[in-house]
Amino acid sequence: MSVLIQASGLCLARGPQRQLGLPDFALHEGERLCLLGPSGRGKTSLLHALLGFVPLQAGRLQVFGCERSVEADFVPLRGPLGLLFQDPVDQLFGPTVVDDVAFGPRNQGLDRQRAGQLALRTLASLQLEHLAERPVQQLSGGEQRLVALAGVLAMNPRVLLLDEPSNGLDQASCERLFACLLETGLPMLIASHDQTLVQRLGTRILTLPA
Amino acid sequence: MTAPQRLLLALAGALGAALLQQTWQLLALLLVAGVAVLVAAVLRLASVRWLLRRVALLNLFVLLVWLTLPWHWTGGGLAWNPAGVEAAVHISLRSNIAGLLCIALLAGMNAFDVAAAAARLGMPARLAQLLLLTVRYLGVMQQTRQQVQRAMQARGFRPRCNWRTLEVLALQVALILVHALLRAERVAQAMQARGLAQRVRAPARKADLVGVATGQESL
Amino acid sequence: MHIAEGVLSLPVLASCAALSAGGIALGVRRLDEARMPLAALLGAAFMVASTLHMPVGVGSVHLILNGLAGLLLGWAVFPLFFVALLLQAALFSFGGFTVLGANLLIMAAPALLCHVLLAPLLRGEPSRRRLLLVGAGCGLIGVGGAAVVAALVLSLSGGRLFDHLIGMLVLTHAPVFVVDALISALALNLLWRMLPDMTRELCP
Repeated sequence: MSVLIQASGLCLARGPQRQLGLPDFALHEGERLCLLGPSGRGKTSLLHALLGFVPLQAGRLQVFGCERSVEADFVPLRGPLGLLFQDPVDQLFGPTVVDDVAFGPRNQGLDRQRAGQLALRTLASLQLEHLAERPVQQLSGGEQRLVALAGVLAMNPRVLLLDEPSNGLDQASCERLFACLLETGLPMLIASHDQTLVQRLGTRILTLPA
Repeated sequence: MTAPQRLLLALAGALGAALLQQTWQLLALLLVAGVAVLVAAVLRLASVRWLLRRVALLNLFVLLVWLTLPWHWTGGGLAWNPAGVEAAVHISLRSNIAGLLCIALLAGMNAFDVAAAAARLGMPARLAQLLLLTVRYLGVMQQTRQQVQRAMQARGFRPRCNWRTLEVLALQVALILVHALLRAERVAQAMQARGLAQRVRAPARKADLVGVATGQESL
Repeated sequence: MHIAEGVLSLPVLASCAALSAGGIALGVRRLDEARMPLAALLGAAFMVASTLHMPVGVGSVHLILNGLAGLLLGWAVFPLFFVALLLQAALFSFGGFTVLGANLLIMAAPALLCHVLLAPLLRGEPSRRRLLLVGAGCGLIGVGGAAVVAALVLSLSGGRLFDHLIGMLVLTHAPVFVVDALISALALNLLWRMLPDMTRELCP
C-alpha cells in the first residue's frame, strides 16, 4: 500500500514558548486513521499543520511523496488534502449553498459557470440539491456539516482531514454523515473522541498521549 | 507611573509640541523625547527592534513632507523653497517629539491597556463604555477574520491582483460584518433575558453593562 | 488618509477638535444601552475589515470602508472612529493625539454624509443594481470626501506651501479610491443577500 502521509518526530509551535510533540504516524491508501485523545492534545493542530497553517518546529513531514516544510510546499496541498473544520460556521462563506460549494473549484481555476455546475453535481451526490439556493445562515447544524463536506469534495481531494466531524450532530445527522463519508471511498485522517464514529469509520487508531 | 498618567503625559507632550513656536524650544523637547525612548529601551519596556520599527513608521509621513514641501515650481522649473524647508523642519520636530514621547510612554501597552487608561481620564461615561466594549470585541472580530482567511486558504484561495481577489475580499468584509451582526443579536437576546429576569427582582444596574464592557461577563 | 502630528496649524487643530467633539457628543447621545453592543461590534468589525488589503505589485492597497461604515452606523461613526483613531495613534503612531480631531473629521464627516444621502435609497427591497450603486457611492463619497476634507484642512493650515503634499496624498490614494468603491459595492450587496432583515434595520 502506498504511503500518502508520513510524519516523524513532529514538533509543532503552540503559541510563544510552547511546543507540542507528536507521535510518528503514516497514512496509507485505503486507510481511515482515527486520532484519539482528549481535547487540547493537538489533534486540530496536527490537521492544520498538514496544510501548513501551524509551523513545524522540528521533524519531517512527507505528503504524497514530497518533503513539506515551507509555505511554498504546502500551497499545492490545499485541495488535494480536504480539511473539514471543527466548526462548520468557520468554513461556510456563502452567500448561498451553491456559491459556497463553488468557492473551492473557482480557486482551482474554473470559471463561474463550470464551477457552479460542478457544485450542483457535488450537492446532488450528497442528496443536497434542494439546498442549493438556501443562504448558508439558514442551515441546520447537520446541513452545515454536509454542505461543508460538499465544498471540500468539490475540490476532488485525495485525502480527507476531518476535525471532530460528528460534534454537535444528532443521531440521524451522524448516520447520514457516516454514510456519505464511507461512500466517498477516500482515505481519511479523523480527529475525534466519538466512540461511535471510531467504530463505524475507523480502520486504525492512533492515540495521542496525554 | 500608572497607565492613565502615562497616557496623560503623552497627550501633554503632543500638545506641547503643537504649542511651542521656537526652533530651539522644539529641539530641547525633542532631546527630552529621545531620552525617554532610551529610558524605555533600557528599562526593557519593549525590544529595541520594536522601538526602531515604530520610529521608522512614524517618520513615513515626515518623509512625504520632505519630498513635497521644500520645492516649488518657478518659471525655470523646480526650485528650492526656504519657507518650505523651514516648515518641513518644524513639522519633523513636532511629529517626532509627539511620536517619540508616545512610543516611550506607551511602550508595552496593548489595546486593552490603552482603552482602560483612556477611560479613566475623565471622558463621558457612555463614551468610555463604548471604548471598552469596542476594544473587547476587537479581539473577537480579529479571530473571525483569521478563521475566515484560514478557511479560504484551505480551499485554495490565494490573494492576487485580480478581480477574483476583489470579489473574495468583499466576501471577507461581508462575512466579518455578518458575524458582528449575528453576535449583536445574541447579545441583545441575552440582555433581554437578563432585563426580563431583573425587572422581576430589581431595576437593571449600570454595573452589569460595565461588567460586560470590561469582559467580566461573556456576551 | 491620516495626517501626522505637527502638520496642521493651531487654529485648524482647535476648530477640528471642537467640531469633532460635537460630532462625538451627538453620536454618543443617540447610543442608548440597548444599542451599544451593536455599535461596538460593528465598530470593531469595520476596524478589522479596514486591515484587509489587496496585493498590488510589491505593495498593497488597504481598505478604508468609512463610507460603508457611515451608511450602516449613522451618527455613531463619530464615537466609533474616535475609538479607532485613538488606538491607532497610541499603538502605531498612525495619526496623533492633537490631530485626532482633524483626522476624525476627515474620516467621519464623509461617512455621515453617506448615511444621510444614501441610506434612504435602500428603503423597501432594493435591487441588486441599486445595492451595488449605493455601495459604490459609499466608497466614492467616503474616500473622495476624506480626500477633500484632508485637502481643506491642509490648505487652511499651510496655504500654498502644502500644495504638493496635498497632491501626493490624493495621488497615492487614487488606487484606494477605486478598490474601496468596488469592494464596498460588492460587500453591501453580499451583506444584504445574507442578512436582509438585520441590514435593513440599520438603514432606516
